[in-house]
Amino acid sequence: MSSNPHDVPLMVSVYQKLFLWLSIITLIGIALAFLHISVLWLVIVLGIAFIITKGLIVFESFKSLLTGRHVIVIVFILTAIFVIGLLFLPVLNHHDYIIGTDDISKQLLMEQKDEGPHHGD
Amino acid sequence: MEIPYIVEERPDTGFNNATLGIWLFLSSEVMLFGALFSSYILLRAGAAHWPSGASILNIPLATLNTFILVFSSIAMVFAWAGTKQGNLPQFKKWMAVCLLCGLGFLVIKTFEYKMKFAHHMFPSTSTFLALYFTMTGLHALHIIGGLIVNSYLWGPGSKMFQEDQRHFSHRVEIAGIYWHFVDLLWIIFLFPVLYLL
Repeated sequence: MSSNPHDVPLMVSVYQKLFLWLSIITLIGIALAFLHISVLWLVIVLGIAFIITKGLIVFESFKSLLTGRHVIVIVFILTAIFVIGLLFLPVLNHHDYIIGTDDISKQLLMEQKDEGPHHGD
Repeated sequence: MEIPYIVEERPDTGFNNATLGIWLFLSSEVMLFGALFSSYILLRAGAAHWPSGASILNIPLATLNTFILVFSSIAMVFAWAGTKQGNLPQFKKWMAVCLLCGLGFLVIKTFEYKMKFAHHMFPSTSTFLALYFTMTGLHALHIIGGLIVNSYLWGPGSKMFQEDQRHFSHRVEIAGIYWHFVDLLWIIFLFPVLYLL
């Protein structure tokens, strides 16, 4: 928000336009949800597209406030990096090579089976 | 000794203390909800069956809640404009509207929760419901926090308007940034992810 009282009507109009656009996009999203799209990847792509569009509209509305304020730009960039990192954590989960507890129990069972005949001897 | 840069901007950062503080706080909030979204992706991608939000949740009520929050944000902007233009009655009127919208949101959310419990749908029932209650519950807590601050500014805190209008206007601005964040969190993230995807 602006510190100059003369900019108040301008800021009010920016907010009104922003929330009007968000409302329109939300209504489109609701209409699409009622189409019951069964293809999962298409649903996810559409959902992410809606989220990104809304985010970009918010950014576009307020980017003028960031000019000359490098500290907050750095904070936003760091936040974005951490959030993107968090979003890709599930990918790391699918590519790790740590033996899970299931694998350990299977391994133990195999070892017990192998040891079984020796005890009988 | 007086604390510097309460209202004036620091020349090096371009922000005063409270504005920089609220943006740092909101960055941490983005990471908190980002972690929840990451959990959502992981659990959804790993689930054999995932219910559609529309089949379990009440979309018309959530849509109503979305527009209540949109209106509350606009009311907050008008309240802030009132303090900037030296118009206390305008601030009082629009802040009251903003508070009523926030309360309305919580009443509808409570009604939604009650309906779920009546149908024996609890956080322990399924992964989807666990995520639904965690995310919306955390968001509702944020709304309650915003309502407490806004109520203070509307009630006893508004005495500052007579003593130091600029400082009071700045406080309303900071509360407004938080309130817009909480609203945008619902509009951009929670509503589409839980109800529409």
